[in-house]
Amino acid sequence: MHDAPEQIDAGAYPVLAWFVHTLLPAPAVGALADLLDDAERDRSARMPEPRRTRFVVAHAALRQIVGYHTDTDPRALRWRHGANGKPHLVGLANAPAVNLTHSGHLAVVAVGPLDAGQPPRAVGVDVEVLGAARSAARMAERYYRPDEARYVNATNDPDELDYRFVRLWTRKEACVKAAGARLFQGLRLPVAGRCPTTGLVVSNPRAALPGPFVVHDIDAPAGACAAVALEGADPFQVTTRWWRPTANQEWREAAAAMAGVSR
Amino acid sequence: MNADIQQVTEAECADLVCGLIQRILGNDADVAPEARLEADLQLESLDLMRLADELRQRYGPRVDLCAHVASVEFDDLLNLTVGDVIAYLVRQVGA
Repeated sequence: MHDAPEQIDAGAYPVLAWFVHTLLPAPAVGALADLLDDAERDRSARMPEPRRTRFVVAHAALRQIVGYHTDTDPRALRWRHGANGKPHLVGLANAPAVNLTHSGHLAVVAVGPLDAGQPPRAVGVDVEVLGAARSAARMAERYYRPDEARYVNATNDPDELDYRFVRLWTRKEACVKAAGARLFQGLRLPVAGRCPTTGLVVSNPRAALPGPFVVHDIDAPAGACAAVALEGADPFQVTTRWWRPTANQEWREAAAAMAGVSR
Repeated sequence: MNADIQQVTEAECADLVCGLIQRILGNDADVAPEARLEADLQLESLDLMRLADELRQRYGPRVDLCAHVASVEFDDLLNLTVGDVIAYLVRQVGA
């Protein structure tokens, strides 16, 4: 089942979040591995399953998605790594910001802005499969802000507690990834509360990572949480789509139909 | 057993760290000390947090893997291995 394309408002700083199911049959994974560069293939060869499959599918999907949005051969894409390892596209004028995340058998590629005429803003995305934080109550107490720890632990339902912990985690991690910051720098960002349709503005001038950011929860499949964050306090619009494995020569047409937006 | 005065051997540290990572990865594959946490095993932020939390739960605040990771230079962080975590644990709680 895939999203029906819907019109995207190009004036609202549109960002697309592409969900990817990474659990694919071996022949499909083998075909997608052809899209990777030598370093990615070498790296994947050292990984245990099922993380190797997830890496191959997620990075091949990333290449197809970015290739579509930049009108570039997916195999030709190159990245350089920032101070804390955040990858940035190189050699493409007016390329959108891109970020990748994965958890369990899911990956998400966030791309924005879709309109090259809009100013660039760093993007971060995070997805987490629920149940990944069996010690959520303790970790919230230990690492979250006190008000957020109280919120996480103010329920006796273990599934709800897990959801609350992971929901806040994805918001924090999306901000950290937007900033290209270090692990744990964003744990003190205040991210609790209802996420309005315009996004939640997040900042903490006294924290290691002051912000501001705008963060949106996005509709993840059952059993997962996901969030997208942009640097700066201006609102943006995020729309979700599902990537599906497609032969590369057919990908542009398939992506155009799925994206529901013209470049 | 009082975790604050518990001392463990290097082999016990290795077994514990490898076992915890194996559990976090969710498979039965052997976890080699030379495997890099991020590049080879694809450990993510939340995975690392769970590992840090499990170690701290066992040994108390003297084992603060989060603080240790935060102090590592980025280039070294990319190459942080299972063996590095074992070595850190041995330094903190080793016999």
